[in-house]
Amino acid sequence: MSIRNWFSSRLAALWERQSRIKDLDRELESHLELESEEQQESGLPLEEARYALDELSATPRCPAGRARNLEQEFAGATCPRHKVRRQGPPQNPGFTAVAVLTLALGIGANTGIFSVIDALMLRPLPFSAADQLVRIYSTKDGVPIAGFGFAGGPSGWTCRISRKTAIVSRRWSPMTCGART
Amino acid sequence: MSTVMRLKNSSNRTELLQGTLDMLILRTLLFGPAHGHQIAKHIQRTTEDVLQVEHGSLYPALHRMERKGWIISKWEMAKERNREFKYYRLTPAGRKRLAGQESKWKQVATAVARVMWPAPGGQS
Repeated sequence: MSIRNWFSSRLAALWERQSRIKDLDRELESHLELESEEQQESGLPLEEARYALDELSATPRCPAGRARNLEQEFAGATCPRHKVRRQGPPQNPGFTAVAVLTLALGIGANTGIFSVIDALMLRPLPFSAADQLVRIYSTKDGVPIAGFGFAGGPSGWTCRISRKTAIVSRRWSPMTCGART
Repeated sequence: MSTVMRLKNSSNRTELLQGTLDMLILRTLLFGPAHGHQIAKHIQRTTEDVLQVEHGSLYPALHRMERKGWIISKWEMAKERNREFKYYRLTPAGRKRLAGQESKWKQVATAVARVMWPAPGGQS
């Protein structure tokens, strides 16, 4: 079985278990409501009916709740306290894997995105007056020539001076263009 | 009884007792769909309060039986109340199971009766 299949089947099982517990809880809720209605109808004072209901719904063997108790009974297991407590993440490698992976991905993605944004948009360049940097380069007949030239270079060469507005956007706004000399 | 006696052809010690509850539930559902509380009440009333099915054993039994395909369930609105209940219904597999359980139970009841109240002039 591939990791993806395993992962999705674990997720599905987790989901199914959750919905089963929810379903059972709802069912028990209506059962206990009917029970208390019936006891009130039979003339039991409200307080006593409530007490009887508490007795009925109390799960002495399993403190983690009614549905969980029934889940335990499905497995035919008794439900002492230490068993319930031990059901936590360390006992369930699938759940732990999902939780740790989710956390790792979340933290990693956040850190990565923030690093990029910080480097590109937030942090100023390590120069004074970084926003006034210029780049000077030469072109001949519109074709850039390797290396840097200066404004007012040799005759026949076009010199273009651009002001670098921001590194992030990589936009270069031409400011001045040396006229052909 | 369930812990010390074993039925012929049965491997599980608790089968007799658990099977009895299953059988009672299946028999109750033979009248038509019912929710858990109705099933419990029906058994209690019919046996004149001798058998009281606790919700702690009823619902696990219902869910186990549903998993085995003997019954199916559906949340439906109750006719007389404006409220939803989970109604259980018998499946063909459930009917078959009921028939099997019934004959097994008859066999046990007859066997016990033979020991308890031997026929006057019987072989024993």
